Amino acid sequence: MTKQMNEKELITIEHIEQIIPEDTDYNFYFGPAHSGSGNFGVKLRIDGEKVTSARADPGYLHRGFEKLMEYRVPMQNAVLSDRVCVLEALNWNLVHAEAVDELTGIEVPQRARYIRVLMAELSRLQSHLIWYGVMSLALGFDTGFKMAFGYRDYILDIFELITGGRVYPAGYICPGGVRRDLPDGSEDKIKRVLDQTEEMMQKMKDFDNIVFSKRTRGVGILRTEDAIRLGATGPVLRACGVKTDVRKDDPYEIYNELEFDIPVREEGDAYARCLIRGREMEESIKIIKQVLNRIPQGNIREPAKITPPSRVKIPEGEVYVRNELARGEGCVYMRSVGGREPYRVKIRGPDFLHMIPVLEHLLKGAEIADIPAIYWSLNICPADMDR
Amino acid sequence: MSMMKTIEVLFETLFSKPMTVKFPYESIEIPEGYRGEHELDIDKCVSCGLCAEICPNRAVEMVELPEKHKEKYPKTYPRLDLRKCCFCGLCQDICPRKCLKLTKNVFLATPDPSAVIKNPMPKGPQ
Amino acid sequence: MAEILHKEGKVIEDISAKFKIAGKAQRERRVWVTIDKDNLIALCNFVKELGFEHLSAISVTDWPEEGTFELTYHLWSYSKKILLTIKTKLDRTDPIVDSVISIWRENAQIHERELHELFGVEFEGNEDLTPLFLEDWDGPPPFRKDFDWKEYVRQQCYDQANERERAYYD
Repeated sequence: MTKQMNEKELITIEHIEQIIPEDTDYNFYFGPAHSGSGNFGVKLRIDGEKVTSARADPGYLHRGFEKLMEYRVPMQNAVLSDRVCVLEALNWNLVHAEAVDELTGIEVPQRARYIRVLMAELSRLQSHLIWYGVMSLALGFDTGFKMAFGYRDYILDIFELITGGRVYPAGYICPGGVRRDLPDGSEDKIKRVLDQTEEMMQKMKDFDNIVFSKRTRGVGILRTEDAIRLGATGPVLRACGVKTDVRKDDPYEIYNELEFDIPVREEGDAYARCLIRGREMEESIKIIKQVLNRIPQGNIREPAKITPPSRVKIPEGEVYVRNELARGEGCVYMRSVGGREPYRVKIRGPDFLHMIPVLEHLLKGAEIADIPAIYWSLNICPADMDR
Repeated sequence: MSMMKTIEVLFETLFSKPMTVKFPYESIEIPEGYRGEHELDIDKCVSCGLCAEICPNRAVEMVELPEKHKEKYPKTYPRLDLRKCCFCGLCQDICPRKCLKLTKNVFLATPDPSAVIKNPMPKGPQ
Repeated sequence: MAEILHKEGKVIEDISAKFKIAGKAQRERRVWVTIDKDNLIALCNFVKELGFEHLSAISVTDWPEEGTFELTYHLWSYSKKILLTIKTKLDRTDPIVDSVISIWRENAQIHERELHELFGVEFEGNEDLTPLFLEDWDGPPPFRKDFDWKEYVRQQCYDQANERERAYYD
């Protein structure tokens, strides 16, 4: 509703209030088809430039894994388990294989355990490289994106050599051991790839002062008591001062025989989370070098031939397995009544807690320009939230 | 200070080879053991049907051959539907006579819809 | 073997002294206890005081022949480094249980919201039980064992006029 103003009238405050509307609240759907948000939507309520409330809207990638796994035998479920979150497929293979091994009571051979740890740590390295690339892209730094995905390709060449596929290893880590042995000459190739990854990490340190620290310092601070109450695990919790890692507290495979450190920081902001992931990559390279020196000879799978599906039997029982994935704590609860298929499988991914309670808590009160830094510093994967 | 670093990185990268591989003019070698298209050696197949039981997507179906081959090959043989296959290789691992193998051929895109179902056929001139 | 299970034995002793239930140490760092529905909140308050501050997961298993739902709460303690699992049973025709949201807050709230949508369990005390994953879903809770998904999909999605769908639905 505007009043007619001619040149002779002075513009007063009452005139301005009649032209500009009073409320500046609006809804903003940062949605699943948005180029800055992955496959996940957040409904934001924004006042001017500040977010007043956020509500997560999951379900874009819900495929019903827990019910799909009730109709297939464990060897087929191993192929299905790498699609829970494709960015760290070998780590999810490992969680599922450990659950079935503990139910059946099979003693996995030592060589298979060392190969499992080797592949899991390589998968953690390439997952952190994806995180670095996507975070740089979201903050506007395109060169970091291209370098990270270029150096990640060398690790994918190793996966192609050992498992037969670059991105989907098709249940390479299966119940009872691993599916194939390491080909000849793979140890030298892995050492060469580790040198190339160290080159990339040196470049990441050089970029540090310019882009990351200015946009991520002091942004998205998560306090310790909030972190445990909201269910954060993994690097998000270690950035708040809690020194915990499932590989040290609840060891599985051969991690209790290896030496590595756990990086911890006190500040709890996005910058601390970024630095912790850089340090975790260094620790992973240390672990891989130790494994390559100590790997024994032997066979690689306990029932050496695959059992036909009509003769498979899982003994009765229930088990809960916890693993340290690149993103946090990943767990599987499996219950069996003595049939061919598991009776109930519950998959708990780290991102179920990071993307709904933690994100809603951190986005409240943030500016729009800080949203990419907060969102991508949590290293989310919508696939293991929705399953 | 950071200007020196920029010049140093500039000279390092000016004379080094780019990472990009210009496919299809150049290509990377595909290693042995890659999981590509299937190949069946029909003379060794014993029709046990284990490949059809283990496939997670039910892409393998045991069918009989057309009339003119039925005399020499009377049993049922695996037919693969490449639309459903996820190329996991479980059928190759479970085959007791090692006659179903996965080759390195990954160039499977085709505009012809009848080419995606691979029927079992005897080799050689017919 | 006896001294490895010393910590786990102490936790079982503390719980059975107060609540008169038997617990089991499955292996090191894994303790399982079963309790009935009415004492669940009292037990959860007690173990939170003992140091089990991290709720890892809540899960529901459906037993249609017995007519029960079995709830499991998996709790981890950062100080003791033990995983404690609490199991309890509900009646399948009337699945109502008290919510643990007063003890473990937002962590429990999101797990209960998911289980309400997928299994139909009612959590008393949790106000925000809106659907999480499925939009415009008007069928029964989908993860129950008596949900015939083939029949449901056939009725909702089979387009009889389309030739190619016959191979999947007939």
